[in-house]
Amino acid sequence: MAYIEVKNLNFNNNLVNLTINDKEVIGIFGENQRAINEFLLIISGINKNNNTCFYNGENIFDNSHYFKQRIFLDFKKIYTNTLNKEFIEENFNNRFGLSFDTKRFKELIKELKIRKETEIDVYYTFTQQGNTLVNFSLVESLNVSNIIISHPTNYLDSERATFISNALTNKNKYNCVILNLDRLDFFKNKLDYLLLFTKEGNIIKVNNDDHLLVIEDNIYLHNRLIRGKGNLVISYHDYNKDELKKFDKLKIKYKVISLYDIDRYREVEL
Amino acid sequence: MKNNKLKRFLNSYYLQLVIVMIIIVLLMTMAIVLMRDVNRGNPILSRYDLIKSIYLSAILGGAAFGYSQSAKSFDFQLSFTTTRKDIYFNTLKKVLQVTLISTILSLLYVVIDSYFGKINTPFWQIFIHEGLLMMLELVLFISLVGFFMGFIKMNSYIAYILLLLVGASIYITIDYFDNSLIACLILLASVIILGGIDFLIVKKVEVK
Repeated sequence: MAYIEVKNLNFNNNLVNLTINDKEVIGIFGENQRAINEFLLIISGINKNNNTCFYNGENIFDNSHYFKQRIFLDFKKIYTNTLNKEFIEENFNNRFGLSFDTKRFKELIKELKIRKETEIDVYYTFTQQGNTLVNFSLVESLNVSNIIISHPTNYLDSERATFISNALTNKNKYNCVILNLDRLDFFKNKLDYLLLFTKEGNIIKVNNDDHLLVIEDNIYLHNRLIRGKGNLVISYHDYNKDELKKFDKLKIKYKVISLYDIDRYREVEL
Repeated sequence: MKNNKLKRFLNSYYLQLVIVMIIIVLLMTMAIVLMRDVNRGNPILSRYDLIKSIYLSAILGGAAFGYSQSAKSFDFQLSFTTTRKDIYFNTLKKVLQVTLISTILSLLYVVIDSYFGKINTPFWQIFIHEGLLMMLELVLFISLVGFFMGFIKMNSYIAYILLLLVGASIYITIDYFDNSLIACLILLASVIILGGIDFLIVKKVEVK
């Protein structure tokens, strides 16, 4: 069943048509974080969508039925400066009518060793890693079925990033998950599909078995995603045989890679 | 189990509010009774300066609250379950609550003061001519201006200074016109118009 329907949304001079279904985990990836953030603000119902995005047939903009079932967090931002679970519970209950599982929150603080991720200065603050972990613990402890998260593995080491990626893609807990990813490798085989935001402003829906092209930058490229090392560019691979032959003819080095190898090829040469 | 219920009851927002108001009323009564003789024949101190200071606190608090709702916690609240309409009406509700509490306290003050001072002037006349009605409207007006300033992303220090200047200017202007009813009605109309403007801004502002 459709959770959100996007019909003819004019986004960056592109018409976007998309159906996000229940029990789907969707990844979003691209270098243009401003465009992605703009898109997420529309999908989360925070900004206007010119009557193109719907939940149960109703426009999602400022829709209280839609809002009560979703949260939109950017793990780079600070949402709490305290680990006082009773204080947090009271705030979520009183301000937002959300139930907060203090027991689960306490377990996660211990398991993820969040108390070690603090800096003691004039104020008690979390490190960037600590802030990501706290935000994740908040999301996990809230009783919300639909989540939109930006930068879920921001500054995390691989062990904790894997833990978080497993938790956030748990379909037994969440109905619909939309993740703006910093890194794809932690989410291998955990996503239903990916939305790639290209530098040209296109949004491409790709499956897990689609491929990318790591290639020396040139004028014949389209659907560029991110810069690689040196003059390499990683782009979505929808090039036909003739186009690839042209690259061979012009002695432009390239390599076809899997979607989830993108992070590795950001830092290596061909 | 019983302890939890008792704890929740004692921590209840409305109970604490009622207790605080009772304490304020008792303190006001003491102040009125004790200060009556001090004020007698004193041309500088108005007998209503004490209640005006309550309104002043409400104005300062309302300004800070209105500004923080739009400048600091608007995006935060939208990330969770609160819609733009909820934010606007919750803000308005809280400001109206503060105004109502200030009004109840000032009414009680006027009643107590009239009793001990044996004053027979109708309370609504006292409200208008002593500037209490204007102060009440200023609480609403300055809170809504603070709310507006948060949306235009004004620096907080500049916003608070401007709010104080605006509030002081309105007070002096209306006081100059002897706190006339027409001046108060104009201020009330401004409050309603500003409330409408704030609502439109809340609906239209784009979050980045």
